[in-house]
Amino acid sequence: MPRYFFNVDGAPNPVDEDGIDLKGPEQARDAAVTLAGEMLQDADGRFWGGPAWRLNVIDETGATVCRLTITGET
Amino acid sequence: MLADHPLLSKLARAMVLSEDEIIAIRAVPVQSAQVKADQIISREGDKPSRSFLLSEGVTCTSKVVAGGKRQIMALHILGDVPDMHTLHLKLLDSDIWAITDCQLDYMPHADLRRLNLAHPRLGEDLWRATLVDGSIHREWVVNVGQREAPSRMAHLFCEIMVRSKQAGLAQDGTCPFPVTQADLSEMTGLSPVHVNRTLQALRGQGLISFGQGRLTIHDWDGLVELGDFRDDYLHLPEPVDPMA
Repeated sequence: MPRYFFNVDGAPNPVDEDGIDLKGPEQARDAAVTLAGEMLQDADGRFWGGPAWRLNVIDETGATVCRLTITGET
Repeated sequence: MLADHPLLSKLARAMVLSEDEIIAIRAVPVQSAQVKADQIISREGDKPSRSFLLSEGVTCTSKVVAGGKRQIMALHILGDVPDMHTLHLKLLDSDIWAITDCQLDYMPHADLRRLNLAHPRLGEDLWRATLVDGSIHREWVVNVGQREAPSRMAHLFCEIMVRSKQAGLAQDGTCPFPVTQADLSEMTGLSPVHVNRTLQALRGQGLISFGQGRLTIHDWDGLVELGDFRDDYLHLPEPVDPMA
């Protein structure tokens, strides 16, 4: 199975060194949405007013698989 | 030597046994079975006529919901009796799986019941063990329901280290923890990617190492604080120094 790396801008550990094996890009995109949901939930109120929250998923070659950018305005 | 009967070793750790009690425990027949990793041991809906003491390996109690996702509700290690409650509850309400290769020492319910009736003190200790199982279940509900990912994972690691130490499996802050990241995902209710990232974060903070079937805790106080961990719910008979 190919390996994917999930990098989150501004998280305590922004660079995913280990990566995780997933079936393909579709599963990586699904995992990205789930991870974003979980991390934003944990971020709680710290999300509002900050810079945009970004999750970049890359494959083993470094190519972008997908990117999630979430901004919150009040 | 008391180690010639698995139940004897378990009860002798909890109390000083009389000669009569030792003879009665030895009279409980034991049938050993070897189970390979990732094999199911008992299935939801089973009506077991015996319970097993885990003499080697790690098992878990889990349930699959409609849609196929699985939740692991409990981990069992050396000396645990994962299906002790079936002594009084006829129907097994969850699955029990071997996570690693295991040795199971089965004891018939009829003999256990006879033992408990003749020696209420022993019955009370087995009862107490199932109550502690319940207490651990309650703490896991709190953990999965309310703690954030790093805290949730830290709490689980603290528990595993204390329980392993109590079972004589841990030394110098290292204990066997032969679970996969997929298992951790099903234990914590976090997605596999979130588990993966959380492990990297805990490692990056110098709190733990995890891999090759082992868990090492480098900073106990740090992990305890992050995990909001207090061992009172484990109802340890004596205080345990997990890092000794």
